[in-house]
Amino acid sequence: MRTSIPSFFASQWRFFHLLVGVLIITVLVLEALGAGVTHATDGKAHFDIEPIFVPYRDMRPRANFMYASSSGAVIQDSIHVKNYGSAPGTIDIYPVDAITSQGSGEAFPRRTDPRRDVGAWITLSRQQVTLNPGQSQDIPFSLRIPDHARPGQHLGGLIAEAPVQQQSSSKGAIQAIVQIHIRKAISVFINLPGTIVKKLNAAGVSYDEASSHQRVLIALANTGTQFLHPSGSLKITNAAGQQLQNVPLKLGALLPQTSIHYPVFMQHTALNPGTYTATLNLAYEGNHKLNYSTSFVVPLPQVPKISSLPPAISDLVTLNADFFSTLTPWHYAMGICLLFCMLSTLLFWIQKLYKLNINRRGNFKRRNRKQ
Amino acid sequence: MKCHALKMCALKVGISLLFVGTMAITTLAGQSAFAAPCAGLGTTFDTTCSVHLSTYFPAGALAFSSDANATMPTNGSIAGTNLFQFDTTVFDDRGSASGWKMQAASTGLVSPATGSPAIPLSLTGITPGTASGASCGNTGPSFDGTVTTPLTATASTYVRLTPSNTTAFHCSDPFTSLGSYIISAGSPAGTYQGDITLTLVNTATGA
Repeated sequence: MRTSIPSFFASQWRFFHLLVGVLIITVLVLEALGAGVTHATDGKAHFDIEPIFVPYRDMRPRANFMYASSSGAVIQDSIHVKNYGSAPGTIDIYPVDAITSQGSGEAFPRRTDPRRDVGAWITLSRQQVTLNPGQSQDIPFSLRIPDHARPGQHLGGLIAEAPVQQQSSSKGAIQAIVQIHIRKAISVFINLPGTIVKKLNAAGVSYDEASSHQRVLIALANTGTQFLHPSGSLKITNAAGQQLQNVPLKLGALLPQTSIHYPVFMQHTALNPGTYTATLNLAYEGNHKLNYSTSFVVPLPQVPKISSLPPAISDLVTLNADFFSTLTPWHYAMGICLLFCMLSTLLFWIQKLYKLNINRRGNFKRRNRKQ
Repeated sequence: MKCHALKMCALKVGISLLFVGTMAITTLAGQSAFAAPCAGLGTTFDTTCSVHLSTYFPAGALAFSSDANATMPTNGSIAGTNLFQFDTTVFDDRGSASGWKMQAASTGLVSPATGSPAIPLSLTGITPGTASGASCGNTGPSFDGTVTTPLTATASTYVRLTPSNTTAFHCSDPFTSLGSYIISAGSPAGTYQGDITLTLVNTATGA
């Protein structure tokens, strides 16, 4: 019996519907299983913000907002705000530019700091949200990229900040109060087409007299258009040419068009007052290198001698280095179910092929007998 | 005919599940079956990988709470070094064994006499509490040893929780931040007030 063309397409259409339906249900089940396990029950509001997840558009949840766009473009998106706490609460949401923190890596300035880049390009539809426990809301925003925006990578952030709470009292003639502000940041990456420049400059090495531990500050500037991740070493020699320090360096990201004074702590042996030569050797983004040498002075009075410093923590992390360690029991259960279904499909096909083979042999034998 | 239709239906369901299974497994792995994996963090816009797929985190919250005010010296501040502390808890429901970092910024305590920042605030360490939560196996956050000098208006990372290869995070991570400030001899009496701004950042940015 032959299948007509319309019925063939109808069959394929039903099959497509079935495929999409099963896909959506599976993704929703997986998402439900992976969602909130640790809930705060301390009688406070706990907010989280994340990019809105649109299954048919995003394929999977986003950790940050990332756009490959062009000058003059306008991007519409939304941020998802949810109160995971056990009390109602209100938070402020606002955009900021990202800067490079002193220790490298991105940092998000205060709300009152001037905005000139991504922070200035974002317009939120609402700047304050009040939510009950478990309640969530999507806040649309538009991102308008200027016509003459610099090519390359840009980074900003959307910040959720809880209002300052009641002050505590203090005693004594000198009373001190330290209020704690809490914020959660979501990065907003934008990549604009144009000439790519990867350029790192060093502008000096100076001794940090304000530090409680002896250290020098390296003036670094990313004058290019891309994120840079330098690594290498700083060597310090005295006037006699004797090497006193050889400190390995591994920096986090330096954002384009930003500069920092990167701190490098002296290890094991403190520097006495005098003049020293600092030699900086950094490699970044493949074959790019920065070799820089300068002198600096350790003045009197000398900072107290330090014996050693704790080992630095690597700035870079590897995502999903061990996949199986990241799975929960629910993931394993789902995996086993899927494996079972796949094996069933395989067995179905083996059985079908086996029967076909048997039938073919039977037909062959029957034909031979007839002949 | 019915038997044939049933078989065809079973066949289609099987193929669907095969497809869905492949998608689900690669989704959980954080990599797509249809895109080349990224070389690593910081290659956010590398043309050899899909930027959207490279930064996947499972759905779930990464939120935190903290004391509204730091606990200050019981009998007021004295000339010399004074200690303070405050408690913070990070709630990580992402289940991704992914890290986070906490940044701190402060312009210091404001002098009542001058109204300007006069006394810098330093964060000198943390005391991790006991992490709890389903399938939580992390050892808690650690202090970034580079932040031993006074805080500035520019945020610096002072606490990190680095990913572990052997844990899955659905955790409450409590820790106590320890800080200090120095009152100069002869400082005028009165109330000194300052702010510390904590910013929680997930480490997906690669920055």
